Order: sequence, then C-alpha cells, then structure tokens
Amino acid sequence: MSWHDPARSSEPESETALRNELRGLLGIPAQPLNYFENDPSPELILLADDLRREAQRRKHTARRQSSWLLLAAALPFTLALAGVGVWGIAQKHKADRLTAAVVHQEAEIQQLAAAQQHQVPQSPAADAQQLRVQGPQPKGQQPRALLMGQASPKGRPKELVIPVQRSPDFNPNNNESVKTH
Amino acid sequence: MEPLKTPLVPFGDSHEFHDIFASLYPRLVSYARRYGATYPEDIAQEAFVILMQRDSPVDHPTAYLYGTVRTLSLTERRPLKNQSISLEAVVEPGKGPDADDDLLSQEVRERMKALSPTFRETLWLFVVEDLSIRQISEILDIPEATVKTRIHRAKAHLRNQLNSSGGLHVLA
Repeated sequence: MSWHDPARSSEPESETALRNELRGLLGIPAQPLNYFENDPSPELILLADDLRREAQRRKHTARRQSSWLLLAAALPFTLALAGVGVWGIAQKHKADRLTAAVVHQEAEIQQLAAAQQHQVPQSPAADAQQLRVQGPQPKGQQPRALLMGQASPKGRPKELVIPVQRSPDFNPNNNESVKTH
Repeated sequence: MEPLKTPLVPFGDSHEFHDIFASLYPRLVSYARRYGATYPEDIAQEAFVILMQRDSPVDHPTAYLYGTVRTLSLTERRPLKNQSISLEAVVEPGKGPDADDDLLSQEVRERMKALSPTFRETLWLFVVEDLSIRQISEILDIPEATVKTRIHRAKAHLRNQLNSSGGLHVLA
C-alpha cells in the first residue's frame, strides 16, 4: 500500500475554494507553505530508517506479548476445565461402580426369590409324606394331647374327653353330659 | 547503512517512505510545538512508529499522524491524570506558536491570535496545514459539520476583523 489519502485527494472544489478564500483573508500566499525540503536530508533518512526498525521491533514484541497475555488469561480457565473434567470422570467411575453393585444385589435378590419360590410348592408334599410316616391312628384312640387335657389348637376351653366303647345300639342323640368341677 | 527493503504499511517502498517522512516530519514537529510539547521531535517520531506498528492500515494516514501527535502532546502537557487543560492554555501562551509563526507574517499572526482557540486550531489545520475537512474531523475527533461550522465562523470573524480595521488591503 502506498501513501494514499482519499480524504485529501477527493476533496471537493468548494473546500479548495474556501481554503483559498481564507488564505486571502489571512494574507497567506495561495500556494501551500513550504514546510519541507524537496529532497530528504541524510539525517532524515537515517532517522526514518531507525523509526522503521523500531516499529518492526515493537510489532514483534507486541505480538509475542499479546500471545503470552492470551495464554496467561486462558490458563485459569483451562485449569478449571481440566479440574472439572477430572472430577466428572471420577464421578462417572463412582456411579458405574454403584450401578454394578446395585445390579449384583438385584441379581442376588432374584436368585433368593427364585429359591424361595422353588421351596414353597414342596411343603404340602412333605406334610403328606409326614402323615404317611406317622400312619393311621388306631380306632377309638385319641391323640395324647387331647387325653392330657391340653388346649386345642383353636383355643377352645379345656374339656375332659373320656373315650367310651360304643355299644352296638349306640344312638348319638341318647347321651349324657357330665359336668366337671 | 543499508536501506530497508521490506515494504511497510502504509509507506510502500523505502524511497517513498523517505519522501513522505521528509515532508510530514517537520510539519508534525511544528504541530506538536504548537501544543506546547516539551519534546516535539520525540512526539512526531513516536507518531510515525505508532502508525508503522499497526497491523491494519488506516483510512487517512495523514490525519492519523496529526491526531496521534495532538493526543501525545496533550498527554505530555497533562501533569496529572484526568486533569483537563483548556485550549487557551495549550496553544497560548507557550513557546510553541513562535516557531510556526516564523512562516507567517506578523499581520497574519495577529489575526490568528484574535480568533478563539477552537476556531484558530481548526483554521490552522485547514489553511496552514492544508488538510481537508474530513481529515480535520478525524484529528479533532469531531463531526465534519462541526469542522465546517468552525471554519465558517472563523471566516466571519476574520471578515469582521478586516472590516473594523479597514484592512481590506490584505486581499489586494
């Protein structure tokens, strides 16, 4: 890019006329003042080159500085993000362990439940077998518990029951009640 | 010393840069002196370095240089932060205007001094520094319409001044 100043080159004529008019009012010649030499002096050339080098040096320094600043500014955020990430991963592992434990427990419970269900249908068969082992009671013989006057399983009041030999002419309606004291 | 070959924004090649620097540098030094800068050369050089240091090109480099010089000069004059200085104190008194006014006649100097600092500053940039209204608006950071208003008011003041003193001979 060369030294091009659109604001100066595209100046409207009215502005130029106004400038000339003002120059006339002030008594300044119409030509621009000769502020500068036609050819740059060696001192000015040296100075210009020095300034150019200084600008380049500053440009590089500023770039490096800005990248360091960016890095320094981003470091806390990066650390915070990394910390949150590590914490999140730890939490995920913990949750996975807990889930596995819960699944394991559920499986054990289901196994126990299945075992229980398997045992429940065997009970009536076992009772029947037990009855078979005990054998039928002899006719006219009551269980010992009833003879000893123990309470019946249903909680009825105690009664003394005397077994009697039924006569051939036994009539169930012809009986006598005996009170005990 | 071997000249630099790498083109630098916005000056182009080395030869062009030397020409532009030679033409603008004295003007910028003079402009900084007008603001009463203690080290006007340093300020003008700093303005060039700041412009060349930029990554992106500016729309109006001349206005950018003048604006930077103005800001740096005002900052240098400001002993404490946030302490404002009036334009009257900045432009006059001070040793600054003397150097510039060497280029102008005594009569012109008197007429310029009769104007208010605000009008004088705008008029100086427009007539003496030969800058456009657009550039002046960028340097002073004011709208173009305000620059035009100031210039026209300064013109009216100058006319009144000439009419009252009967000094129309200047025009002749």
